[in-house]
This record gives sequence, C-alpha cells and structure tokens, in this order.
Amino acid sequence: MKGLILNDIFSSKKLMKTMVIPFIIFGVIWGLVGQPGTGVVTISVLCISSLYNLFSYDEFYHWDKYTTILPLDVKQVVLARYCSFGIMIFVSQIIALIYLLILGGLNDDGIGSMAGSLLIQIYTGIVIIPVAYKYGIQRGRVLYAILIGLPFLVILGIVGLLEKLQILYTFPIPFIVIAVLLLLAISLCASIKISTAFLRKKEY
Amino acid sequence: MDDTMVLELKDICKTYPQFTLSNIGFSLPKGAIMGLIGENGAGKSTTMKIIMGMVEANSGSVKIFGNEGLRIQDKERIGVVFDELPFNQTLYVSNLGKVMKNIYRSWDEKVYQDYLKRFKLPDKKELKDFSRGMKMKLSLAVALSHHANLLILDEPTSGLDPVVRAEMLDLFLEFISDGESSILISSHITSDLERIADYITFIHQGKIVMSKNKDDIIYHYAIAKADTQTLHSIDSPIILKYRDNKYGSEALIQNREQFTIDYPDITVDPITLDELMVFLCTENE
Repeated sequence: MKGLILNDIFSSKKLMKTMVIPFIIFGVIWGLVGQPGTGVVTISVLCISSLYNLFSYDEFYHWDKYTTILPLDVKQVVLARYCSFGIMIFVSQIIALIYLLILGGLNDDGIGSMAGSLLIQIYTGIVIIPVAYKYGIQRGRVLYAILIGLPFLVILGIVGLLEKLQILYTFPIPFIVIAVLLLLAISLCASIKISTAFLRKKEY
Repeated sequence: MDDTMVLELKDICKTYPQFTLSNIGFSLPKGAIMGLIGENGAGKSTTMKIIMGMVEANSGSVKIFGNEGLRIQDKERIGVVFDELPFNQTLYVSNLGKVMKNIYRSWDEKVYQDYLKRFKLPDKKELKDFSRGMKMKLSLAVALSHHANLLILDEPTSGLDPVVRAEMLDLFLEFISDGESSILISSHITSDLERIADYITFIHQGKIVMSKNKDDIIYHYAIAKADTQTLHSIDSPIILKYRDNKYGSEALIQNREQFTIDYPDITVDPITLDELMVFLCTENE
C-alpha cells in the first residue's frame, strides 16, 4: 500500500509544480482585493483537481490495469487512493493556513473558509473515488456534477428553510459539528466499501 | 497436481457480446517458453488477462504454481510486461524503484540497479522521454527485479528494432536457464518465437488450433507444392489444408516424413510459423 501512495505522491509532485504559478497569481489577487477566503477555496479546488488528475494518469498510462497484477489486495489498492487524497487534503490545509497567516487572514472568516473547504474536499473525495472506479474519470463526469452539485443544492435549501423558520441558530454549534463529522465518517466508510466492490468487479 | 507445470489452463471459456473464447487449455512446464500466436483478436490477450486475473472466465480453471487461481503471494513470483509501459511517465526510474520496493516483498534493488545499468536507462530523463526500446527494457527490468519464476509477456518485442529485440530474446533465454523459471509470451513476430520458444500454442477465433512442441511443428509440418490437379488428387489424412493460386497449389501437411515416402515426386518445403499461421487462419480455397 505504501508503494501505491508513493506512486501517487510522485505523480502529484509534478502536478503541484504546474499549479504553483497559477496559485501564486490568484492568491495574490485574492489577497489584494481583501478576499483571502477565496484563496483558500482555490487551494481546495486545486487539491480536488489533483485527485481527478491521479485517476486520469492511472487510466492514460494503464497503471490501473497494472495494479491488478501487483501482489496487493483490492482493498489495499482502494485504501491507498483514499490515503493519498487524505495526504493531499492535509497538505492543502497547511498551505491554506500559511497563506492566511501571510495575509493576516486567520480570523473567524478565514477559519470558516478553511473548515468549509475541508468539508468540500472530503465530500468530493467520497463521491469522486467510487464513481471513478466504476465508470472511469471521463465517463463519470456527468455523475460527478450531479453527485456533487445536488447535495449542495439540497443543503442550501435546508439551511434556507431553517433560516426562514428562524430555527437555524437554535442548534448548538457542537451538535452541528458532531452531526457533520458523523455523517462524513459514515459516508467515508460506505465510499471505501463501494469503491472496493466496484474495483473487485472491474475487468480490463 | 503436476509439480512440473508452472501454468495449467483447462477448458477456459469467456463470452463477450461479439467474441467467445472456447475451451482454452494448455500447460506450461518449468524451464520452458511458450509462444502464443494467432491473428489480431484471436483471443491471446484475453487468455493472458484471464491468467493474470484481469478478466474473470465464465468457466474453466487456471492453475498457477500448482494452485487454483491467482493468489496474492503467487503474484510476487510473476513478472508481467505489457506492450505499453504501464507506469506514470512523469516519473523517473529511481521513483519507480522506490514504488516497487514498497510493493514487492521480494524486490531486489541491486538487481534493479544492475538492469538499469545494463540497459543504460538514465535517471535524469522522465519516462515519457524514453524511446520505445527503453520503455520495454524498463518494463522488463521491473518484471525481473523481484525474483519472478514466471514471466507473462504480451507483445514485448513489437515495434522494437532487431538489435533491441535480439537483446531481449537473449535475456528471456537467460531467465529460463535455471530450469525453474518459465515464460508465456504472445507475439506477432513469429521469427522471435521460432528462435526462443519451446512450445507454440496457436489460437484462432477464440479456439486453440494447436498447442505443441515447437520442434515437432517445425519437423513434422511442411508445405507440399505441386500443380493443382496433382495435389488435389491426393486423398490422404496427412494433408490438412489446400491453398490454390494461379501457378499451382500448396498443401499443409502434418507428417513430412511419411508424405515424402508416399509421394517422392512432390516438392516438400519446410514451414515457418508465419506460414503455418496463414495456412490455418485462411479458409480452404
């Protein structure tokens, strides 16, 4: 499993290098216009696109096919990809933190942006990985849009409704945090199981 | 269980909407090279994929190292080379070594480094900048650096120049020289197989037409040449197939010695695997 994670890290390093310049440009622009939070979101988007690129590389170079002949269980192959994405998220959050520190944006808004982008990253990983294993990164495009877009619309709708009913702020913050974390943990476990089942059935 | 066999396939069937692999069966002994030949789409790659667990057969059995199916620990002992380099080509050879070292328990970094030196594969170039020959050599270096006992090679020499091909063929012979290791190789370059293979399995339209010792094929099979009338007048089970052209006829015969005794006036030429393949793939004319 460590070898697969290393493979992902080596692949991402190259990608990261190509992303540095666009990020610096956008990061400076967001900093200048006083929106460091948007810079944080940009970092999380770049992180998500790295995951997308990893699957693209796998398909393009047929590494996905090659993993079937490696002395690894399917579950290890799947877990390695989740771990790689976990590392990417961690690194992106560190970069976001440094970015906010440099711009002096580590206030409630900045921390809120980081927490929000973290949730988006985790949720996107939960959705992208099984779909990529099932349909491949290209064929799964429409499904990603639906699976990522639809829940956000639903959540926005629920939040709007709760605001309208004036009960949104009656929920204690710890309750919301625990509920969200629990939901993410359950979804992550389900995502890993589904990905493993998809990959086990996949033929090349 | 026959412990002299590294690989045993029995009655393998796989059905796709437009293609069926039927009752594929053959055995690969220790210390031998088996060449899989057949036209494009004959089922060679599907057969290899079934062996490697990339595709699940509808029925039949695959025994590798005497065990039913492909177990994870058996994968340690199998080296695979595809017709394309399956690694992320933004990597360097040293990156690849580190990756493989953490995947194969039996990974031998010294052997890997020796092959890199022997094949003159530089670490300063990304893999995408390697020539096709260098990419195939790298694939082979990886396949040989974890002490595999079975090499599965899918078109490893296609697109390579004769010098690199000869170098790779020598390496294959070196690999099996311990008498314990074996190779299953598919190739369209039948002259390569004539040089190195001990056994030939010929697949045509999803079925095995022939699976024999190569020397037996070369010795016993031949092409008889004569005018159409003479050749077609022969009623003998030795003749397998006819091929007519405007200059006369040719017949594929399966017992050269007997045929030359029975028909001493008819010219009999030795056959190449290429000619055999063309004969068996074309319909009777």
